Amino acid sequence: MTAMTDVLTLSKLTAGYGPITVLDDLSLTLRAGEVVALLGANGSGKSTVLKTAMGLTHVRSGSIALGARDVTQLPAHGRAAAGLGYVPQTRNVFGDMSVADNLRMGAYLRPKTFEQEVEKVFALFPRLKERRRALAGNLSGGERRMLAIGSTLLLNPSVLLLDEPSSDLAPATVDLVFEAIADVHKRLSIPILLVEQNVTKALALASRVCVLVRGHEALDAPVGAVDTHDLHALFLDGGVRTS
Amino acid sequence: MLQVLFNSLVYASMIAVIAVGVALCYSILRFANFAHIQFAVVGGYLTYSFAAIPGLPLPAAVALSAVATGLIAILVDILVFSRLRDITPEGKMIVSWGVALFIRSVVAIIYGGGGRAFDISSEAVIVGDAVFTTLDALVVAVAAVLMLLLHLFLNRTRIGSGLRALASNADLAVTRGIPGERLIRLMWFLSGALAAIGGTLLAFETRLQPNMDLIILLPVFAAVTIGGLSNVFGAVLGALILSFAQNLLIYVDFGALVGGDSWQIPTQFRDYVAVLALVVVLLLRPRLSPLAGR
Ligand SMILES: Nc1ncnc2c1ncn2[C@@H]1O[C@H](COP(=O)(O)OP(=O)(O)OP(=O)(O)O)[C@@H](O)[C@H]1O
Ligand SMILES: [Mg+2]
Repeated sequence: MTAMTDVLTLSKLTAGYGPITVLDDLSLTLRAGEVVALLGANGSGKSTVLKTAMGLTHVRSGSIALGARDVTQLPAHGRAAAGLGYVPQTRNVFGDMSVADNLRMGAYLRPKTFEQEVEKVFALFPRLKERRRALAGNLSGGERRMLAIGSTLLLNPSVLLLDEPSSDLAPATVDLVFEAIADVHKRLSIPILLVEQNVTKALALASRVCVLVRGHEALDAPVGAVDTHDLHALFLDGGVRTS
Repeated sequence: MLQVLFNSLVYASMIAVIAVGVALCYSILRFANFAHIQFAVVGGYLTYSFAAIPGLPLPAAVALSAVATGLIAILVDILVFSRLRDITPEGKMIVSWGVALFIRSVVAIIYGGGGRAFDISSEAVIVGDAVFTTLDALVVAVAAVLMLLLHLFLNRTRIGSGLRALASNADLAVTRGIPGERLIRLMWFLSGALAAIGGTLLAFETRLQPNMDLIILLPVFAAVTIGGLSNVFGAVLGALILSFAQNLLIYVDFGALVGGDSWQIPTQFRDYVAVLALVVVLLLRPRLSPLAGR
């Protein structure tokens, strides 16, 4: 692979929250057409990787590039404009705004085409159309997740950062959400950096897998090359690498 | 009783136009901005100065004052609060006291200690056993129109919705491409401009005086607290409730109620109703109060 196809490059990042450092010299690359599964134990810093890519943490050193463009100094709203779409793990809808208003905020940068584009989101998640007048805070967990993903798609992102899109959902909804993600990835060929607890689902979709241990990358390999046992060892023992 | 209603409505109008700015600021930056009160005072005095320009009609003077005060509010953000985005709400609140005192001193240096009155012609209108003036009607109408415009802006426009999104969840809002810092500046401008108009209306109804800030401080913050801060229009409701309670309390003849000689609560105690309301609300809903922090 050449550098030309790198769509998101995190280089030697040391980052965290205020005085707290969470990521330690982390490097990670997402290439065109890829789905990379980012795995790791609770608290290992997966969400922090995505937040840092989006510009929501304090970066002490290292750099972030979107394609060939260095965005390390760009504020989050500028990164959104540059094509980064982010679905946070928690607090990922505006709870006191309606579903329709949430979607409109997803299209904040592209208000003119909203009416056409929102129909595509409704086609992906018909439930949202029925609930468009409801307050986002009153949605079920599954509906809320659909809204979070749908709002982000309205940004027309060129790269997607998904933080545990299937956590705390009923099995049927998990399938629905993963089908939608697979559909978006195939149809629009958007590269995705996917944080997931559901390893089976994540590996089914991903082409490459990265494992994070205490803010540091412990494994980066094509999905075909990893043994599930190794993954579990990394998860449970936090850093024991056997292969 | 009709008189109580009229008086409450006029008073609530002036308080509400000032109080919504406190709620706007709190909803986005999460701190009780005491410097906001000074924007009302500055606005009142600026209107007075602009109105002195020969040939400039009074409405134009008010508009100029609103714009100028809005810009002053932006300046306060640039110089002070934008540098303190990450400190605690309590810290910002204390800093806002400092800013308030600073602005107060500047106003005192420029305008001195004496009171000034606007020369507004106004006629009395009698309805039943109650009286209101044409100025009263104007004050209520201006406040109602401003609140309606603010409501439409926040709910029907893209940028207004962006402000609501920012208040709802700032981190999520910026990931949607909403320019957070720019909208925060807009919020300061709107708050400052509205406060200027509120302060001007108050000066029309009473007069400009250096301690105006102390007169409106309690009612404004009590209104915002009663309203709950979660919603900008809670401040309007809070102002109405507060002002009705205040006016009712000084209207009722407590002496006659218990069958004795006529005795009413002296008018100067009116503001303590605001304190009472504030304390009651703080006790009942501590988490919603700006004074209780987050
Ligand atoms: N806003 C914050 N302020 C301070 N520390 C934080 C903040 N968010 C996360 N942390 C800390 O950073 C570390 C990594 O958290 P992060 O949320 O990135 O982990 P994660 O791998 O996503 O965990 P999970 O699987 O539970 O989602 C944790 O120790 C956490 O306590
Ligand atoms: Mg996480």
